[in-house]
Amino acid sequence: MSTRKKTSATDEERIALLQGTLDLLILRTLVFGAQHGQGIARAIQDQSDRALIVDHGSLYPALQRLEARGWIEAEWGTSNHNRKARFYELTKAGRKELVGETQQWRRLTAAIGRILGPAEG
Amino acid sequence: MWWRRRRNDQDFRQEIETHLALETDRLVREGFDPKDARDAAHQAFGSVTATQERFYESRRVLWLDDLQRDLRYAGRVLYRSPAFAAVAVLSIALGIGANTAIFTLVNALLLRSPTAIADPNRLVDIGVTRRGEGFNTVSYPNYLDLRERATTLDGVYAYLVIDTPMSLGSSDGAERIFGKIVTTNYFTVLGVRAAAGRLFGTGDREQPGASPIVVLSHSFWARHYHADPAVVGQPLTLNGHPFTVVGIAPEGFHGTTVLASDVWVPMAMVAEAMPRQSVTILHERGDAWLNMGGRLKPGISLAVAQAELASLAQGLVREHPGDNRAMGLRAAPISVVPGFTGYVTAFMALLMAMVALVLLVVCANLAGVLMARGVERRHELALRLALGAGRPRVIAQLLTETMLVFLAGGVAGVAFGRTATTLLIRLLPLLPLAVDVDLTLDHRVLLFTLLVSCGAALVSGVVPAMQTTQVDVIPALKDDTQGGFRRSQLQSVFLVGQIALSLVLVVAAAVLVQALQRAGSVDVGFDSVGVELTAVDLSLAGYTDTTGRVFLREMTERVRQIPGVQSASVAAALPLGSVSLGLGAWSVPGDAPERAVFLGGNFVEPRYFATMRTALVRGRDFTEQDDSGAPEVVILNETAARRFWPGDDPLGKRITNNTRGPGGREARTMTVVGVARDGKYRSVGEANQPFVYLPLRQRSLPGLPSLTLVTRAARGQRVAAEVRRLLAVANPNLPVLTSQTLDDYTAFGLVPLRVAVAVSTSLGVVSLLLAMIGIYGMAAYTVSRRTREIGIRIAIGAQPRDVLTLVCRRGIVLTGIGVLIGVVLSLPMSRLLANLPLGLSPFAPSTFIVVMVLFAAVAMLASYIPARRATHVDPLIALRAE
Repeated sequence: MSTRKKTSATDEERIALLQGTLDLLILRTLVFGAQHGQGIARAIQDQSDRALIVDHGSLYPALQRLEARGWIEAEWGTSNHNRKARFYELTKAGRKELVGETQQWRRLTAAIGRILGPAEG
Repeated sequence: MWWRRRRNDQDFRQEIETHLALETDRLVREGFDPKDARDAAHQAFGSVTATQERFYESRRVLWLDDLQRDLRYAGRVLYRSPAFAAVAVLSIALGIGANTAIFTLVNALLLRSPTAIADPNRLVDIGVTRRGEGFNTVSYPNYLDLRERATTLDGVYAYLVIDTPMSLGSSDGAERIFGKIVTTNYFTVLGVRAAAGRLFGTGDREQPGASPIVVLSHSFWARHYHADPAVVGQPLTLNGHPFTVVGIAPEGFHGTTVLASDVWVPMAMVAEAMPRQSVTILHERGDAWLNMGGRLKPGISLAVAQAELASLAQGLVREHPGDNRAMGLRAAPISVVPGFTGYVTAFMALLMAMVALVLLVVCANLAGVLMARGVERRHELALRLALGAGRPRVIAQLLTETMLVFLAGGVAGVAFGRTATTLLIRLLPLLPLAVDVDLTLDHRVLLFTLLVSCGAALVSGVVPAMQTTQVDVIPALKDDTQGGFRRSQLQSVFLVGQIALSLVLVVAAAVLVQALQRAGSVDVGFDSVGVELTAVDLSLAGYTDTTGRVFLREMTERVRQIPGVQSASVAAALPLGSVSLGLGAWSVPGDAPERAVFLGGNFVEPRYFATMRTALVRGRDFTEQDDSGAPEVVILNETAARRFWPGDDPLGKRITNNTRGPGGREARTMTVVGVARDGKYRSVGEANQPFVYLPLRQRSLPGLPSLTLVTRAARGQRVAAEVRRLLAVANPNLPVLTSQTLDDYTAFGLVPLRVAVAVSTSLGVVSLLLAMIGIYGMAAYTVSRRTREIGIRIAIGAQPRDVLTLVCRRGIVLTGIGVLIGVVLSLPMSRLLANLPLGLSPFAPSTFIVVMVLFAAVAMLASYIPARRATHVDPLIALRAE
């Protein structure tokens, strides 16, 4: 299939997202400003060099959840390609959550990294 | 914030649409052709439906959704088993309907606040106690002192609780209306606002005769004056005296009691409003005739007011030790039946207990049925559990079904309860007063019914639901009919409980029926069948003692001419009614004064004994000649005769009567001319009382209650209407107070007992029927579950008798256990009933035996039908059936 060929990582190298990490990635993406769902999905995929698969559909329940917790806010607006889209924005609480979660994530990966030792090859 | 979450499906779908469009745009910009781009966007997205479902679930309140599904499913299940649904709904309707009916009465008599009264919670009734007992009336002078002295109350009012019949004069004859005599601060303290004009106030003078004014009740105003506001300020004639209408009370207002007055008259006009009273009643400290009430001052509690009243009472006793001997005062929250709250509460508690019991029987019955159904449905339930439904979900589903049945039953029960209330009201004899008891279904009654329905559903639904979901999936799916021992034990417990409670109800009904039978079979000393009463108050039409006598004598003569009338007479009081006359002290001349006895008695015209069919065992009746010019005579009853001259012939003996007449104390000596058979005078339960009859013609009767024309007609004939017509022709200004049969008149005292009997017997029958259904269900269920076993037994030679025993044994054993438990429960219950002020006696052991036999018969009958069916089981078919 033609879409597959365009990805830079092969199927084996793709990483299924850990539970909970999607929330962190969404919040991180929104640090650069308001964005709509498709933009967020694209950003996560592109910035991870397409190593992370985001099933676009699973993004929306996550957005819904974050909105319910009051970490992001949404409003309908117009995209730069002139389509009406729902734009999401970080709230103050969301920013705080992102800082906390990011630190925790770094500590976790560092710890796991130490246990696993230096990368091979 | 929760409202931010409130997005609709539409909005969400649009967002997904946008996403797909943006992704497609992007891919097209990267060089895809539009169709491929669209496909790719969809693929990257994954399942649109799944996403939408997740959104849907995140947003919806899930249990509400489940409930909707459960309700739909429950509806289908019930629709598929119409027999179960019908029997269940019907029995619940009976149980809940009975509860609703009785609660409607409780609500009307004990809970509902009076209409159009400001802040009724601060109002109190004040009653007089004697040696700390009772809740009695007060005299006007004592009332005035209390009103003056009480500092914890914002005003104390007084009123005559029983409404006074009055004659409303108009150009086309007299109309009997009911008026309430009240102090001028009555409306002010109650905080009532006039619907038109004004009510009484402090400006109205209290001197006798000074305030000839009336306030009309709203309903009387509407009925009589077509709600014409111009009536305010108009004159009106009461008992021949001119009054002025000053205002109209608000709609629905009838004071704090259940009695519905047509007009209110100030205390100052008591002599005009009650022609038989004189204004001296306003000065007599020993004459207690008024009820009192007051309003607690802000911040004052009932206990504080109570303490002040107690000390005020002590002061009154000190100042007037003669009239106020042993007097105390008590305050209580207002009641529609002041002074009788305890009695009414006890009676209502009895009725509530009975209907609650029948509802419990219904619940136990249904719980048993639900257990059996649970076994029948174990396949379905196991399947649902196997397919991954959580046990709580299945329990919720089963409870929803039960709840649905109970709510349907509750709705039917409300309708049934309305009918039952109407029937109960119809049991009441015609009251001599207008009563306003509000029996509408208000929020309180409906809430009660709803709560009772839900509560009952939980009571009967929870255990079966828990039990039937405890299935071993695999054997249940394999349709193994064995097992479930614990379940069938539980089912037995429900049946036993049901039978025990039913027995308690039937015993209660039996106790009450026995009491009523005893009351009915008591020899009351007269024959009431065919006797009709027409009561008149001659003073209302302006007759004096002398002219009234002449008029009545003429009327009696004319009534005797009416075709069908066998006999007619006049009496001042009638037995077993609310009126009794004390006739002072009686003694044999020459006896020591302390040997005198106080006797009750009656004033009658000649032929009273013939009309009542009370036999004269000795001597003669009064005659036309026993009048004021003739020597004074008296007729005693047997007990009185024995009391004064034991073992001696009383005829011709002399007897002295000391009374307090209008001219002070007087002693009159008279000759005994006859002895009448003993009878019952005040209540059917009383022991034989000494009683005297005096000729109406020999006494002047100031302050007597109304006089009653007593007629006996040939069997089946009613002459009251004709009597009334005769009276109206003779004097159109004479209002008839009451017109009723003697049966109705005497029935009044038995009303509570009759109501209790009606309620308890119908409930007893219902619970007995339910017990029958329960036992039948148990036996039928045994047969259906053990068909194969029965088949095998028949195949190897069991006789029909063996099969009958096999099927019936369980039902009969369980009935036996239930009956024993019921008997044990009934013993304290019957003692409790005997303690109620209904004149009941504890239950005779013989009746216990009758009830037990009754239950045994019911158990056998109910198990016999399914057992018969079992004996016809064809072994071949039975073995194949499984």
